[in-house]
Amino acid sequence: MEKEVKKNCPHKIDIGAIYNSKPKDHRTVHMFAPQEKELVFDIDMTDYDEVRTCCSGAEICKKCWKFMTIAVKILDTALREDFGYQHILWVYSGRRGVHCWVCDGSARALSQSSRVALAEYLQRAEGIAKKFFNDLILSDQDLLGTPQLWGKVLALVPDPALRESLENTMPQCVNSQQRWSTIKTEINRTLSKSEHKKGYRPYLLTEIILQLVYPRLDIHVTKGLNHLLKSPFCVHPKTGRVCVCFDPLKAEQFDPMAVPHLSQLMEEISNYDAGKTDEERGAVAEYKKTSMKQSIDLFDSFLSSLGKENVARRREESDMKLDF
Amino acid sequence: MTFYMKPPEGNIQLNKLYQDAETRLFFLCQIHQCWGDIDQVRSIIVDHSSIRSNSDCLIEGSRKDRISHFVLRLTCLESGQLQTFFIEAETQLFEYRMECGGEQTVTHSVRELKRHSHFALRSMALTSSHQKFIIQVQKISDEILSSGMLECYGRQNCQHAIKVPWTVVESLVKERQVVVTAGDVEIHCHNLLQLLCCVFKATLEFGLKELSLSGAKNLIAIDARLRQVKKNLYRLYRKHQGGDYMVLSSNSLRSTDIESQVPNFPLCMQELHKILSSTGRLRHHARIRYTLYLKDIGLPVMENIAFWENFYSKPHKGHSGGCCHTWDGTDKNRYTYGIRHLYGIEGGRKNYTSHSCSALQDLQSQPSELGGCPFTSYGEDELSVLLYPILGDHLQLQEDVIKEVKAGRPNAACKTLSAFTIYMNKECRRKNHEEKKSLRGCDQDNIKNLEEDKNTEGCIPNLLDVKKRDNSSKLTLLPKLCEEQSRVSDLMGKKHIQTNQVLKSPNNSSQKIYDAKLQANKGHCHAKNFGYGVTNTKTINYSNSASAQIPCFKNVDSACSQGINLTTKSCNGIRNKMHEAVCDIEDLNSLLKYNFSHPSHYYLRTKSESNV
Repeated sequence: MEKEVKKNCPHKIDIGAIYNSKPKDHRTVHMFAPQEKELVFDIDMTDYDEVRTCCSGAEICKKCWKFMTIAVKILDTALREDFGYQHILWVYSGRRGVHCWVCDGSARALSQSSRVALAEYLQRAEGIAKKFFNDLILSDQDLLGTPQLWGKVLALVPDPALRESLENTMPQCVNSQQRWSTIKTEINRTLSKSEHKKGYRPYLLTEIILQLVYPRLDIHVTKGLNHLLKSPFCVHPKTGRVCVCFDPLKAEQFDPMAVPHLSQLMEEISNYDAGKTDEERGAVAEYKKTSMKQSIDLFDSFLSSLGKENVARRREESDMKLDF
Repeated sequence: MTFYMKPPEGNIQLNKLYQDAETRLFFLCQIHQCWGDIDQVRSIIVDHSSIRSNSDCLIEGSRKDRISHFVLRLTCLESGQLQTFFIEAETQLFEYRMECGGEQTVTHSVRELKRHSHFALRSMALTSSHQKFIIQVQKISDEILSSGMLECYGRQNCQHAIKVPWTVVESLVKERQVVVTAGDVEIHCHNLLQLLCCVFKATLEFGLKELSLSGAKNLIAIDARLRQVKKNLYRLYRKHQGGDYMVLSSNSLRSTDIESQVPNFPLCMQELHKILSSTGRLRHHARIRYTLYLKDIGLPVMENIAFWENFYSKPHKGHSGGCCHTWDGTDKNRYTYGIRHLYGIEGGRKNYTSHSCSALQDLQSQPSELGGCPFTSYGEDELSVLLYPILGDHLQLQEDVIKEVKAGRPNAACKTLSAFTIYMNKECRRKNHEEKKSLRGCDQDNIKNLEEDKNTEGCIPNLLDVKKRDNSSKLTLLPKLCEEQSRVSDLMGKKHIQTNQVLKSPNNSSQKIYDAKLQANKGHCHAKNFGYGVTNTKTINYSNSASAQIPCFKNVDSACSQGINLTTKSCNGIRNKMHEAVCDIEDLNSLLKYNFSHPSHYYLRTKSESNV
């Protein structure tokens, strides 16, 4: 396949499902249907536009990247702990989002309705959201900074009386943190008083937090068994950046601005090659000469563990069929 | 045969086969509208004699039950819509049976499930995913039987639990009703029924898939008898769906008409239009939904393209979901091609159908998806905000709509809104008609002022009996009248929304009749007044004071010295019924005896009814 790719030199490669016959023959085959497909998630920064104040549209910066960090952590933890998936690859999508590829055997076999159910489950996860809330929402995004902004946040409070009283105290506070702690205390006080009132929402605070930072997945990407998703390590046509993979546990350290450019890569290779003999140049694979090395290593380790699982599965299946 | 794993065998007469299938289909249609309300389901058999006389085929475990189920399975193969309906309705029937049957029924069903799973694995040809599923089911049924959950059925605080793979109960996982750990879900006694329902639904889905793969469709096509049965069953189903009443769209809409028609749109499409008007853009999926809807209501392809061009050639305003496209160059060609493709004029030449209500309702939990059914995806508060501009002061109606939403009946809520819109349109029409007729006889200026005052006060459409009016009305008092009108509504119980006001006419010979009619209507309202708290009969006196041109209420609690003449407009019989009907949601709904399954049907129906 490496030869084919080098020969055709495609602009980008999109990956879809495994079908029961060659796609180009799909008209001739009776039931052309997808057999297996990785479970994928696509998180796009533009879906956060209503809660981010630093950028909008296709731009991103370090501040709003924190939304992504929260989403990555929530998803990764939930997929591993709640659903038991282990082979999860996170890839920067090149411009303003991330993709997640879950490649476990059982994940590949999921039906469309299961994928939808899983995606909806994920959009309601709370634990980690709280941890990052302060940093992101209050400091960086300063979502309680101006009357307009805090009005939007307060609109999430269902009880009009409570909302009004909160609105009146907002101008007295100096910054977002103070406002948030005021809101917190007010809400907790009201809730503890009116236990059985109609509309009692014991998790109001959590709901507000969730509403602001929950992972906004594009359900169509996850749901569609015939959907194609950009392959890891492709070059994004508009920015020229490579879609590198990253470690979800170190998501906050990942800097989307520091992702290598195509031109940057070319430079790095020539820098490495300068002053070396042909032999030395040929000894090292090209990508190892560049700043992509780290992410390729990550990819390699991912592949090897996945490979082990595949081998084990195949052995199991052949044992079942008694095929030797 | 609760889980319908094994198909029936043997012989049966054709007409009995058809009869059973027909009864079952009719019953399923009724059950589908009940949405889990056990009492309503119970009353179905009581209410419909056709079902009662042939209820053998609905007795669980009977041969006829099995046969009718499988015949319907065969029938569904052709239509995805019927399939979805069938699966949902059968699952509801199953749930009802388990709930009513109690411990014995459940135990019996689980035992049977285990036996039949064994049988299926041994002797039926299954796809590998189906096989995997049945193995899971086998294991689950084993565990249920051995864990003692069945005897415990009903008690809430025991320790019984079994582990099932999360994919078996994915609908529970989706709603976070259960806890998932390492891919498994723990099911306790109180979840048992839900687990069984999930298993039932999945079994049915797999069964249908197997059937479609097996080429049964061809069998039906060949056999003339089955073809006829299938055709008749489809006819019955379509009738239930409201298909018979469908007024074919006339294809004469123009893109410039859309704006004026938006109030007749269902709420889902109104929302899309709102977003499009305010930001100037719609993202891909929402745009597709709206385009298909417009196509369905009769917008020709060129007008559809013009409609989008109108919005997209202007720069987008505000946050438009990151859409930076405009209507020039390649974008224009792309959009035009896309719209034409939806009409079936390009590419695969497939005539796309617009999204059905159930498809839109399924979109519910996607927060970033637009154009889903507001009655499933919006919270109560958001809905109230949406409904207020439409329903205005008709608080009882609003409460009823919210009640339907809470009970999980979005179609019923939408139907109520539709009935209301039709009613309002008719009233507006009638009023306009009336005014036009009497314009000749009355003081033109006065009428204009009347209109202005009415508008400024924002009154509910007033059935102003301009004919009876003479030109001695003191217009300054009119605003007060409007104010009093709402108090009158309070008085009459909020349901009596429509009060006709007749400006006092000097000729009061017919007054007594009006009085009597009014009392009668009030009584009617009281009866239908679901505990609205109007306990003492408030009398409204009518005085003949010649000087008081426009009467007004001073004190609503006691007999008034001056009263407003309240009368029901004497027009044709249907009208009267409708006035009374406004007192009662049930009567409003009787305006619509049909269901609609697509947003476009809502619009077409509303428009056609309003024109009557």
